[in-house]
Amino acid sequence: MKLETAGASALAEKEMSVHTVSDISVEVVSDSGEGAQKCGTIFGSVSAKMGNGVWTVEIIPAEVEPPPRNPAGASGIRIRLGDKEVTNWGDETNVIVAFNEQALLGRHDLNALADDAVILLENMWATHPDPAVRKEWEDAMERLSHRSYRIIEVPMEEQCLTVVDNARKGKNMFALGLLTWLFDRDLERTKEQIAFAFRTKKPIITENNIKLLELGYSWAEENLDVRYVVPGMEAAGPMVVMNGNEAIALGAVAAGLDLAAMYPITPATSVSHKLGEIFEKYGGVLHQAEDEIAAAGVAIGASYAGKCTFTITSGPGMALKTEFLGLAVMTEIPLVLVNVQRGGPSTGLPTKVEQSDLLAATYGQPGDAPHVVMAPATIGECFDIMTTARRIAEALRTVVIVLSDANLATGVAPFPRPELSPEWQAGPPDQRPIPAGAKPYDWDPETGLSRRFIPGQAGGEHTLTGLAHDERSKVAYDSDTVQRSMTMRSRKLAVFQSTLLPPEINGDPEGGDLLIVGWGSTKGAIEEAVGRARKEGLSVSSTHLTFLSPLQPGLKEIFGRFEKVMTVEINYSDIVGDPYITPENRRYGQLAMMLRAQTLVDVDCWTRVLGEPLRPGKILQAIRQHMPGGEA
Amino acid sequence: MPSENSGLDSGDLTVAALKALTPRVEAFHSAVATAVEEIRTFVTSRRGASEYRAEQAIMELGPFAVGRLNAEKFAFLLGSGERLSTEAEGVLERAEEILDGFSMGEEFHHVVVGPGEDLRDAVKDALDHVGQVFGASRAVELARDGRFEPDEHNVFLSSLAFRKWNRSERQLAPPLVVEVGNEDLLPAGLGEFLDGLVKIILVVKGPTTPAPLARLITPGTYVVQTADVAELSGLASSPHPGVALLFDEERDEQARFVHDPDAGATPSQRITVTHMPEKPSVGHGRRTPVWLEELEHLEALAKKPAGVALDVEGAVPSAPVEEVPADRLAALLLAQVDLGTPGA
Repeated sequence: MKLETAGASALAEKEMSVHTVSDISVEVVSDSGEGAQKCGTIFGSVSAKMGNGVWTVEIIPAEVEPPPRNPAGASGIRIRLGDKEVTNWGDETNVIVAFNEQALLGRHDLNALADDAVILLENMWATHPDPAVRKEWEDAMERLSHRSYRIIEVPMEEQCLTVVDNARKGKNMFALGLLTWLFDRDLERTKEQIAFAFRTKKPIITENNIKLLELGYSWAEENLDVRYVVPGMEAAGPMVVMNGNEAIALGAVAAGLDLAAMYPITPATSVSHKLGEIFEKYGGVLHQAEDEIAAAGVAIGASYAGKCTFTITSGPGMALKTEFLGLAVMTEIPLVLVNVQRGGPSTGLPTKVEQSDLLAATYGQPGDAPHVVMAPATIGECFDIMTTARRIAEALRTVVIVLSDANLATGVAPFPRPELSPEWQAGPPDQRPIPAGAKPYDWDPETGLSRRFIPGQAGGEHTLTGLAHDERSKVAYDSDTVQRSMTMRSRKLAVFQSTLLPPEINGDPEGGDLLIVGWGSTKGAIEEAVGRARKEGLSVSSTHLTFLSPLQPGLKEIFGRFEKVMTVEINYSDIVGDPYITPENRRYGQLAMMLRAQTLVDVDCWTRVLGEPLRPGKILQAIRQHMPGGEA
Repeated sequence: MPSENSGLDSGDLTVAALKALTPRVEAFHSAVATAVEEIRTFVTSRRGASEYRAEQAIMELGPFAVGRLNAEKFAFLLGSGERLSTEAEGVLERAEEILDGFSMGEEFHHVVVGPGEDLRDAVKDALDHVGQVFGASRAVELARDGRFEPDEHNVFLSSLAFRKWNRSERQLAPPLVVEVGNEDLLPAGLGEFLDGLVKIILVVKGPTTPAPLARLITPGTYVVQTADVAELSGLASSPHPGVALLFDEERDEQARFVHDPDAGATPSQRITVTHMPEKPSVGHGRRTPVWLEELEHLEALAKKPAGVALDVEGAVPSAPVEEVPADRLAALLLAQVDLGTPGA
């Protein structure tokens, strides 16, 4: 959309203009702790209830409490609204509410704002008693004036102090009032959503928040001259709205997983927060262990005892669990590990998105430890994937790693309400007495599969060991046994791959000039970019992989239909032409590396590690550049 | 206390009480019906042809697998083709019969305590009877696992005493409406049943002691004495076990109060007394009767601490009301947001 612009001016005296838009992005930014995310989440939920497509992305500084009024510490949320399904956070923000000019500068510096963005900016800093603050304001205004933003100053502090003593605790609801009027949201629904959001707080808090909402709404009504209409759509059925971590938690419950063991780690922790609210009601056990390693041990132990369990973590935690993952693979104990990826290495970017754990998840265990790796691409899939992961883990007696990421973890979007089935909650393992002569690793030589023995099962007595072992679970170092047992554990993956179907092609299945291959949360952005590119007449298609180990079948044949294949990922890759970087020593994106090794196709890659989700516009630029014969 | 029957029809009160418990009744019926369906599906799958096994596999894998996995091939991995033994099939059929009998109807939610009978025993018998549901479910699990030993496990196909119910089973407990005569209203023995999500409403005609339920007040138990059927909704929706005493009319000598575990941290915050009878004097030197002890107990619990000014409107956060409808997880999902009327 193209917004009207009025430069960096105060509110102009003119008639109301109403823009009907099909797609618009809004941001609320503040210092950490001022509740911008709460404001945006409520706004997004109300918009979803009113039939809009919605995708939210939280903008969270890496530090827990960064210094105030610091561009690098901008904390907030982007809400993209549409008149149809929204699958990603889009390109630039069209409307932004900023609680101070430094947070705004942080977004400006990252080119997050459209050139004609409308900015509603708290103006208390312009007249702040501290001359240094006034100087910062003036400098910021000067920098912002080089763009065509329309800045509207809003006396947020002054207004909020008429309701609450501490405006810092109220501006977010005042801002919600501004947005509610600006986007013609249903005021009553917004009040209901506030009541829901603060249902566990004292009633006085909800009452004050509603007063602040009304205050913001009235201020906007009296003072703003622009309004946006985003038409709603007809939903085919009942919908639910949640973020990816909540979806994983609910999906785990629906899948009948018995136990979750975890240790808190950003951005995965909120999975366990949700489980903490509900898991026990449905017969589950949530265990917070003393550390990541113990969490894996608890999950493996419970699974060994006959349950099906999962553990939740992020990249650094997965590294700590590595040895235990090997144990689960070696002892063939079913286990689901959810890794909500964040930026790395080391502590890295705890609150920011990356897809940099793919190789670690697939190959990161010492020794050869074949297991399954899969990745959801949408928030709805975060729910569904848990059932599938559980079933695969049990059927194969192995580890299944589910790779989510920070983009899905905190992104909120509506999706059709799952139609739950008791079939998802597969029954307990077969505990009939073990027939005489049966062994705990009676590998079927064709498939590598064997019956799971449960401790206490009659006739199934054996010693469990992480050492190399034979079919009877006896430690065995002889060459034949080592080779045979390794073959059997690996064979299971091949057997499983034989049950997988080739991935679908978005665009032209017959082939074309360029095929984009993605995985995980980038699906929405990639498909939007491919759609735009195809409208430009470019012969480009995309495919999105959900099974990464083993890879889905048919990839080589699919790649052969396209002149060029390129992955798009949120992890690091070298750019040929940079100092010292040659085609020979170039490090590729992680999926690209795997695809090149597996298919021997010269798969290219375009990857970025910007600490934010990929923007479809940037992917579109990359597509143009990487078309056969293009600049790249 | 004097004892006499009023002319009011307790049948109407019973109907109203059952109606107040409808969400819990539906939740129980739904759980039982789901269990029956699971048995049927399981038996069919074990008897079934390979096509059915493929269908079963894709159902067990869930929606994520649709279009991504070949169900027929995956069914091979699941190994769901093993046939049931005749013995196991017999156990499943018997369990299905039992469960089917509890999947609808309200008769087992309604208990009448005959004159002179023991209230606690009546409730215990009723719960033990319904416990067949959980016993049958356990028998199903054992039969499915191949662990059902007739000598040891046939007991599960008859009544299952409440004390043997596990935590999950107590969460699914069916609610009871108990008609009891005022002279037989001795509810202290019900304490052992107030666990999980057990809900008991005692319907009584005529005068009673002032606060017979006071001794059942514990921090995690919802307790209400009332003559207003509308006040039973709190009991039904509370995520705690609870007991109610429903009077046929309001009498000065009967206390009316609610103890809601979610209403505060202290007893006085949790208890709302709408009517406290005057405490009759007891002759000097006489031992305090039990019914007076109960009233004094209620007064002591409800008494606000001296020197603490409580803001009646704002001090006590209202507890989130949790509906417990038939499909609890579906309801939870819907609670995230209901977009049933988009664009409205």
